[in-house]
Amino acid sequence: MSLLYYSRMRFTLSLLPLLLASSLPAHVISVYGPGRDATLIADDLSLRDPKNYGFMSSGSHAAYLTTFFMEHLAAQHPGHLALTHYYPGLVFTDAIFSPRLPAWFRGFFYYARPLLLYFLPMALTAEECGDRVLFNASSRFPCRLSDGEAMPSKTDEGVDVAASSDGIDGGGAYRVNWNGEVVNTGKQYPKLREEGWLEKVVRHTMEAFEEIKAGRVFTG
Amino acid sequence: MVDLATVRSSNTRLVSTQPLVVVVVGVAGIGGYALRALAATHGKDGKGLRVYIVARTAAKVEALILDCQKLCPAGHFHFVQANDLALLQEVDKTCVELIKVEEKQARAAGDKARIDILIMAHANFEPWHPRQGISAFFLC
Repeated sequence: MSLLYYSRMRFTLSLLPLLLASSLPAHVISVYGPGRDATLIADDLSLRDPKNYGFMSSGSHAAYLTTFFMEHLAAQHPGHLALTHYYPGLVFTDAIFSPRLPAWFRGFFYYARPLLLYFLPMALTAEECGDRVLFNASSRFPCRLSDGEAMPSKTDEGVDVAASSDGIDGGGAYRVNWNGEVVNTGKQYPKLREEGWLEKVVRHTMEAFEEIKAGRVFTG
Repeated sequence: MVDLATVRSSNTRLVSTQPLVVVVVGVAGIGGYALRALAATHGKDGKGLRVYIVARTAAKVEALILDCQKLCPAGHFHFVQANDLALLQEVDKTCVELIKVEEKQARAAGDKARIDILIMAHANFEPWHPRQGISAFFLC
């Protein structure tokens, strides 16, 4: 959880003065999984209870927290900051052949890799993956503009400007799939917004950061 | 779907419009591919590139920097060593150092200290913790 969410938002905040000094809209790109948001355990955001903690629930919480916190930052810094949570697809990094992984797993992917690359669109080579990560810094994903400014509807390459996760075209906080398309927020989002989850997530995160900065252990 | 040719021409425009300062956190996997793509796209014709690589293992980063330098001879690639980025104090310490180096580099280049793109891909997807031998899969 820390590496996927808290650590990444902390990097963003700690480097914010330099990001805001960019003469471009600065781009913040977090590579993980925006579409993993499913369960949200409202009374245990940190997943402290071992019963709540798992691969699925930690990915789900990381996706929710990232979505809301990025929306917060994009709205705070119009004209300056565009943020993307990017799902890279199935990419064959060296990590799948780590000797620490079970032999059957490595064996399976050794033989399955060429087939997957051929038949599965979301299976990408390292090279294509790198190019597509970089594309998140394009003008398809612009920073939010200040009130009254008109957002162009297309980039110089003729690609549509993407919709932000809060539904604003060019709103500055994006959930992006491996192929450059937007990962839509689910049906649960309008209700979550009504219940004030954006503010709750920002409060939770800032409290964690303040406690840890003060040398205490965050218990929220 | 945005096709790969469009992605590439957009990336080429990005590196040929202005010099860039880029930070990449975690380069063992996807972060490393993004960095290679950036260096290759910039190549010899881009407007200039200053990159900070935040990672754990110096030997791996040195090899990566050699590759990038071949792809992009005019680029400046700096390694910022970090240990456990799950610890927020470690993140802060790393950022303080990074900012210090960027201010120095920018001054030397007669340039403004800044970051144009921050790419974060650090994670831990291995099922066992390398030091403790316990399941770290769920600690990611």
